[in-house]
Amino acid sequence: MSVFLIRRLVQAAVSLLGVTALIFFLQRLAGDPVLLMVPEGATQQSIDALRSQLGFDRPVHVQFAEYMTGLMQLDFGRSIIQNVPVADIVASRLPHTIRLAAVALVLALGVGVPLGVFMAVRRNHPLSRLGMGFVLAGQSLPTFWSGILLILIFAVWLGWLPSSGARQTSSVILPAICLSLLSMATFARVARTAVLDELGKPYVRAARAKGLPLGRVVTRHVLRNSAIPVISIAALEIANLLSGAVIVETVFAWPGLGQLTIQSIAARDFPIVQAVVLLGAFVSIFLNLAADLLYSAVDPRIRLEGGK
Amino acid sequence: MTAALKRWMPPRLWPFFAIVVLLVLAALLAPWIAPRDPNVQNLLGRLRAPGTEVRDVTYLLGSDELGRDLLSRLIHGARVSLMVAALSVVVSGVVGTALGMIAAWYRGVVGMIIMRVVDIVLSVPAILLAIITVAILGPGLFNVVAVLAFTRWPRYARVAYGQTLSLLNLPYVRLSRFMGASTPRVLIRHILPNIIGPIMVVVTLEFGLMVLFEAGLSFLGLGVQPPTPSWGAILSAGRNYVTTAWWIAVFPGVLLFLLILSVNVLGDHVRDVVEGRR
Repeated sequence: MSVFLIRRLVQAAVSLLGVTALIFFLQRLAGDPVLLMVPEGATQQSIDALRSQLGFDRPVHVQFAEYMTGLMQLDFGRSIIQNVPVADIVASRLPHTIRLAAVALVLALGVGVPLGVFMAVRRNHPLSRLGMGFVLAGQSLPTFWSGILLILIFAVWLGWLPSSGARQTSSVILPAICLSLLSMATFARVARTAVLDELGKPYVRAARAKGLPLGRVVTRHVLRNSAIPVISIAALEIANLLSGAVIVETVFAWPGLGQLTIQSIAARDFPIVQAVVLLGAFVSIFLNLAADLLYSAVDPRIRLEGGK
Repeated sequence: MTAALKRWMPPRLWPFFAIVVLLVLAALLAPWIAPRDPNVQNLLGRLRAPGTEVRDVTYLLGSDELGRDLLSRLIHGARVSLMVAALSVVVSGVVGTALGMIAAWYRGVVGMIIMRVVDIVLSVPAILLAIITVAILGPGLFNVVAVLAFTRWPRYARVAYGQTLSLLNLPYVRLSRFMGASTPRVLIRHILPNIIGPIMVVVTLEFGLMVLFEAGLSFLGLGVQPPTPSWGAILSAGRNYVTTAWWIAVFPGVLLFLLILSVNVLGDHVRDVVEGRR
């Protein structure tokens, strides 16, 4: 247990440090970071003034050390446009993104998993074929297009739901559906494979031979055993939902982190962009770690292999 | 003949193959088959529905907000989509495979550094990494290729690394080293041909993703810049007219969906063939 855990924790820590350095140096490799932040046509004087104000005229390693110290204290710097701490701006937008991703996750799990189980248990049912079509299509749908289609159908033509913004409770429905489609397809596919694998095992045949009806075998035995891959995929899908939100929020004018990122790029407010990407990377590393630990907690074979 | 063809590509895949071939042809022949110049504006023919005729010009798929022929823009847009995707797959594939092989060959410090960088780059969600890199580099067709290649090379490096490691101790590789073959020669002549199958699987699976990423970046205004027609950019512009001119946003999406779907289906098939499942 402990060897695997420590190895995995060290790995995650290295990744965290690496990502921070990557993003820090990316910005400097591409040229003068100050030029990213000033409006086009700024005078040399104001560029120089901003450079020394932001400390970009000091050696890179000093800047990096300061940057890292700041991050440890959850200080992401100040927004250049609004001149308030980036952490405050991000914190004000974060709940919206979390709400959107949470609703999408519930939708994806709630529809995807039962669909996958059905497709495995009733393999040749016409609905299962339809389901496979959905799985295939769901993985190829660009969210910015399905989002526009959803707006066109449910907001413009039918007028059932608001097309954008977050003013009403029902505003979350369309963006959440849009965001959930890809994960829904993934859950359906993973659940189908997991259940199919289990159905082929001897204990299922034994239970059936004993006279247990198929439905009962599935609900009492198969579902529990096939839950492992679904749970670990769920951790990874949360990361996908959060990064997928960038585009979905832009389509639906949802006031979360994704919209903030795109607005900040347009406004050349680079510290905000940097903070959001870092946050996304941290969450993704953390969830990957969680998925691995969860997996090893349930399945001892992985733990042994990792400890070698 | 037909049996060989059917084994190589079962009939259920033909429609998907046909879609890819058609779109590639459209991209290659765009200047000759597009009914009009994709950038010629016509302010009298703005936002016309599909099939409308304005002064002897028929807009088969309608016109956009500047009166440009949507069909012509979509045909030229196929060039952007396919070219960006192909270039970024080639660049990331070559760089990633080379680095993966080098990491496996030298192992030690070099290998560790390369594979750690692979882990780090892969731990940032791809779309976020692409967005921040393009925000730094600035938009534009070749910057998008650079960004996509930078974001995706670790996928190839990981596969090349694992595959190369599994070959290093095989007798024929050891013999060629013993006979004095240089490192590049062993890697390129003896190892590369044997790992190219799994690499091609990654290529086909990544291609659809690259199409999706290019369109997504262009949709966000970070990709190919106007007036160059890109499906993502056309879709993004069409979003503002979705209540009055639905066709501008709907048709480029249909093409994107069909292209990505077809490439993914064919990619799954390639994987099954290479992994010997069929």
